[in-house]
Amino acid sequence: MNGSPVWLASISRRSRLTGKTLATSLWTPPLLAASIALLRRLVGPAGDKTRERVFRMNVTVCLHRALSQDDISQLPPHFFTDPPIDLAGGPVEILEETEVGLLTTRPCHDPVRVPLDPRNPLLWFPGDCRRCGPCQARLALAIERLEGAHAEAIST
Amino acid sequence: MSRLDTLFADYRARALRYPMTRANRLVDPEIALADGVYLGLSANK
Repeated sequence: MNGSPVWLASISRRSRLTGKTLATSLWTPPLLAASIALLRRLVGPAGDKTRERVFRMNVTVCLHRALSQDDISQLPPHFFTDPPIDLAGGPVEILEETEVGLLTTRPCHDPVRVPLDPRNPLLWFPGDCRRCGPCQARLALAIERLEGAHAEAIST
Repeated sequence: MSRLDTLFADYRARALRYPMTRANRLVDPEIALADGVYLGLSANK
């Protein structure tokens, strides 16, 4: 979150009628509120509660909370030396946040709808369009990381 | 502390021991609660 490592908590739900994944766009406001409360209960006292973002994908609703210094002190050393392996794509919708995130955290303006279930048009993964601001920011960051990894590989 | 909160505390401790250095778009459900609710948790870079 703006450079800080985060707790990532996610929740998905299945329809009681069909037993299949219930798309987040169908969650009622009370169900959404209860789900977000459960995510906060899962993260509990950990992290910095003043630095949170709640967003949804089509399968999950997610919470990011910045790690506290106490959390960070418990992380293994490799967490700080290992490079990030890839970059999370954009969410479908940001529901709430305590601080405005980097452009890379914003939803794509016109996402490619990658089907997750061909029988359910509500279940799709938001592929980056690569044209809008957030997508351009994610692409630039991915290129920067690739170039860094390449430079490190050829120097060793 | 309730059993659920104890379970959640155990998951948080495990997430700090085994954090993710990769972005995690779809968190594998680690906790299956009753009635089709699945929770995932990780400490992410």
